[in-house]
Amino acid sequence: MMTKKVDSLDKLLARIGSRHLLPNDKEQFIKAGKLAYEYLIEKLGSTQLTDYQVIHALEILVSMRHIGEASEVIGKILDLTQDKRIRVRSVASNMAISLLRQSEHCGTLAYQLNRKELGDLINHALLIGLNASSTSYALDFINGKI
Amino acid sequence: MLHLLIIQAKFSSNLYTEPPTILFHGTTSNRASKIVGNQFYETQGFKKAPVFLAEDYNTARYFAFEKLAALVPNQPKSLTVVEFKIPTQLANDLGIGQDSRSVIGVFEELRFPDIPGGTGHERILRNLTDVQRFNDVLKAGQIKVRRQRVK
Repeated sequence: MMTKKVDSLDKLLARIGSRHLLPNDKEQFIKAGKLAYEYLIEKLGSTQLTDYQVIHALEILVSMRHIGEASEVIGKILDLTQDKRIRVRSVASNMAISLLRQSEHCGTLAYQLNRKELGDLINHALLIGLNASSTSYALDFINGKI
Repeated sequence: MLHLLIIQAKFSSNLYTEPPTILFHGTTSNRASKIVGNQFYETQGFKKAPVFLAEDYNTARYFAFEKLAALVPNQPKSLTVVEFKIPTQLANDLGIGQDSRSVIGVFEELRFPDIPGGTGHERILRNLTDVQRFNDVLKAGQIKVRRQRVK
């Protein structure tokens, strides 16, 4: 039974390798609950995922973060702000900044996010390079505009 | 005497008018413009079901930020909370009245943290028929809207 479920998650994971994440694929991961959460967390540690698989897995995990441990997801995002792939690094940086802003604006838990430490990570990500839209968002964050 | 009667009539009409149902939706500013219309867009309403409506501003703002984290790599520049003032009878007909409250996240099988200042409940336009009806009355001006940019 469990193997069958993991097989279907494998198939879903293959499907999220395209450029756009289809809402239906995201919903299917969410419906699989804690098993999908743990599966994606484990897969994020593997080096075999494509850029888009990592990005979409992160997006799904952000939505599911309170099903498991939100700090675990945020930890993954923070690690990926220093990833060697620019696309992954850019998305992770955007997510980390957005999640910190959410907690600041809404008074929800920030977990391990704080301006000082995230600022250091984002500065380093900027040094190694982010894509154009992420660079502008990251600079606004570093300069305290957002 | 006539003056008194007019005041009485006004008072009693207010007494029997139910206060509107006020619900909120947090999204990107661009999407908000399309939903409620502005000088560039006609009112288009919501595109698909389900549509989640918050009972309070704080919850809607939280979910607007949730969108900001999720909409990568096309990061929106700004966020907006739209306030909908819906006649109560209409809200009941659309399944978003007081009796149709649900705990946030249950419908999507997701969990969310307690949002300070939030009621913990949401109202949902569950199917396309209700969304379409909502859009029609929105376009007809029966639902009053107010937009607030999230700073």
